[in-house]
Amino acid sequence: MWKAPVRICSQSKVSLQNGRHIIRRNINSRKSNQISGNKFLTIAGTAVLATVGGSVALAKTSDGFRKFSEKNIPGSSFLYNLLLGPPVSHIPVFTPPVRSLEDGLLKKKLEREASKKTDDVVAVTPTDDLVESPKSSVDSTPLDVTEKPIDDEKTENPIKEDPVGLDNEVKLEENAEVVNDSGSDSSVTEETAAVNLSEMSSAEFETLLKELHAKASEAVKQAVDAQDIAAASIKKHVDLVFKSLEKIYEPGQTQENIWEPVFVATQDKNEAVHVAESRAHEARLAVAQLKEVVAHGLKNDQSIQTPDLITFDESVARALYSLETAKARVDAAQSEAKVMDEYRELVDTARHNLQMELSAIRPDLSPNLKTEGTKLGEEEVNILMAHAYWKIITLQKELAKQQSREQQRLKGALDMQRKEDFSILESRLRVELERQYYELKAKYNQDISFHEKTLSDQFTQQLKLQAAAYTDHLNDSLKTQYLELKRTFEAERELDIAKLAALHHEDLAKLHGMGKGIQDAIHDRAEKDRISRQVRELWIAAQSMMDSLRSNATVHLPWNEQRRPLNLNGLNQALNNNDEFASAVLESIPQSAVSQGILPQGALKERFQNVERVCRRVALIDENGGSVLRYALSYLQSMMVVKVDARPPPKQDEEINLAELNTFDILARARYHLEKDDLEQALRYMNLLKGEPQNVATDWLRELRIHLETVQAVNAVMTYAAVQAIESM
Amino acid sequence: MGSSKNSEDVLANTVDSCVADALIKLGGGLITGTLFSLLLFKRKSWPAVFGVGVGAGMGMSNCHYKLNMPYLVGADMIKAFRRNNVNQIGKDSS
Repeated sequence: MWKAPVRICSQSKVSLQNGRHIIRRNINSRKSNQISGNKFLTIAGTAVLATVGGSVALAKTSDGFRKFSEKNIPGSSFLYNLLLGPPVSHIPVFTPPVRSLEDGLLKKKLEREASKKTDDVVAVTPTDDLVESPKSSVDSTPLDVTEKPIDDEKTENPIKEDPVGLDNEVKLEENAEVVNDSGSDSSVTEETAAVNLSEMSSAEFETLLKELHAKASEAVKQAVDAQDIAAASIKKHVDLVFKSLEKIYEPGQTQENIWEPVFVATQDKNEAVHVAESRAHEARLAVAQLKEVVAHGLKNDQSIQTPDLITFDESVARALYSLETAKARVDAAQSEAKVMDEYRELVDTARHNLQMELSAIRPDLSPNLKTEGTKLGEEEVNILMAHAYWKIITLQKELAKQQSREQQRLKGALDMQRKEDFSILESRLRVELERQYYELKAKYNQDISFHEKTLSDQFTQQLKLQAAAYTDHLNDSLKTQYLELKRTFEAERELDIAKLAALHHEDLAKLHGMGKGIQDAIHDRAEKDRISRQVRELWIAAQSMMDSLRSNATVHLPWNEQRRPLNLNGLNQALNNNDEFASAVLESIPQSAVSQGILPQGALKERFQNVERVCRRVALIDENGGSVLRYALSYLQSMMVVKVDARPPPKQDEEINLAELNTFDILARARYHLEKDDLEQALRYMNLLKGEPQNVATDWLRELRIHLETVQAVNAVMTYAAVQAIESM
Repeated sequence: MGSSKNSEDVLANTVDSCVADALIKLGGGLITGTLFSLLLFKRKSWPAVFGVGVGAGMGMSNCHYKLNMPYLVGADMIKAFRRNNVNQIGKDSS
């Protein structure tokens, strides 16, 4: 209890202290070149040659072998074609029958008629044997020699019909030539005038064809009818003549009786024949026209458009045939007429001769011997009888002669007849063949046209199909090609684009990077600036707080009223709650500081003075407590201990025995440190107090602790802010 | 200044209360003594003095008690442990 004062007294100072042909080897040259003796080659060459020659010979004779070898051996066809010529088929080819002069000439004439389409003069006159239109009678006599009888028959002169007959056919050629070469003008040119078939359209062509066909058929019909009529009339005439010739010797018939019907019949016949001839001529012309047009149409392949063409062709042939047959009938009748004429002529001649002879004997005898029954005298009868007898003898002789010559003549006649028959037969046959040929041809043409049509239809259909398929195929291929091309080009384009894009992107990336870098730098800078500003604000706030806390300035207020609650607003504002550390630190500040307040440093120091005073007074009271006496004694002690203002602390190295320190020491040191503003040291020392001084200093210590905590926090914040400020710079 | 809560003022307050109390006690004692002396003890001085003394003594005793109050160990200050541990006397910051 007395240690402390003793020590204090002893001690002088109390100090207070803050990212095939087959090669032919030329054996000779080979032999000459290779004299070393290639016998093998020689033999081989010979063998090859033999094979080739044998095959060629065999192919020549045998078609089968030729075909076989051509099929199987590649080069053989060339060889055969070279040596033998193309393969010839031996099947007979159907050729149209050879025409006689007549038909050939008819054809020729028609062709020439057809060839003369325009206003050129047309040989009108047909090449028929007997017929010639009366208009052509103007021509020269060599032309009309055979035709004139038509006109002259009106006078019924049989003599002139002599040349008419079997010579007609011989003279046809001359006629034809003359007719064709005469180029006689006729008014019939109108029928074949100025029709240019090749310039017509198909419709016009058709109508023309139809017209012509109608005209031709009608003309043909008329001609046939007329010719039939003519034939009939001729027959009638012949019959009549025969009858008249018979009748003429019958009594009671006048010449007019007999001959008039004959005359009439002759006239009729003439007319009929004339009409027939003209009609036939017209018909022939019409048919020729039609034929020409049909031929033209066929030539121009208009058969498909005008299917009637074939029928027209056929009808043309038929018409021609009918014309021919009618003509043949007329010819037959006329030949009969000829025969009849001859017969009559002969009869007349005989009669005339007889008449003459009889008149020589008896001139007064009238020709009408049979009619008159005049009596004859004996002399006359004898003379007559003698004449008759002589006549009979003569006639018998002649008969004998005739009979003897009959055979020959018969033979000759038969031969001639046979020849005629043959020629007629030939002509008939030819006509028939021609008709059949035309029929066949027409049918063939029909068939062909039909087949053509069907085939062409099929063909067009197939073509359409093919065209459709082809177009589809084309479309498909075009599409695929288009797609492919598109793909290729797109790929290329993509590549290029990718390249360009890559380049661009590179640049962009670079720029972007740069921009971003700049931006980031700027942002960082801005951020740092902001942070630094904030931090500076914080620092400023903390600094201000520190200043306020640490201010030694004794404010006018006593320390008690200097307590004010810690105003952290400034700090909080400065923080903006962004800083975890600072906010944590600020949270560590005791609540009592915020609520009740803190004493600033000056206040604390001021308070310490009081505390020190009291502590000195109770310095003697330790933990065990004290009585009043002790309290009085401690008070007395405190009055005696000298209060030293400042006591420098011992040096750093010197150890202080903390247990030895008494209150006054502690207080002195604490005071020293307080004066130095070293609150922590003061606190440390003050914590050493024991006993009653400790109790006394409790509040102050608490305040000091709070203060120090706050100061520490603020210091931390300030340091943090300073560091951040430095960082941000 | 009333009773401030500061710890350094506790003593002063205690002493003040002590003194006041002692005075009161003195006075009371005096009065009582006087009274006794007056009444009982025929105006002798000794009861008054005795009374003053008693008063002073009481005052002193109260003061003593007040001054020692922080150091008195109450039941609430003792922590009870199991047998293994040593019974520690912990002093709460009262």
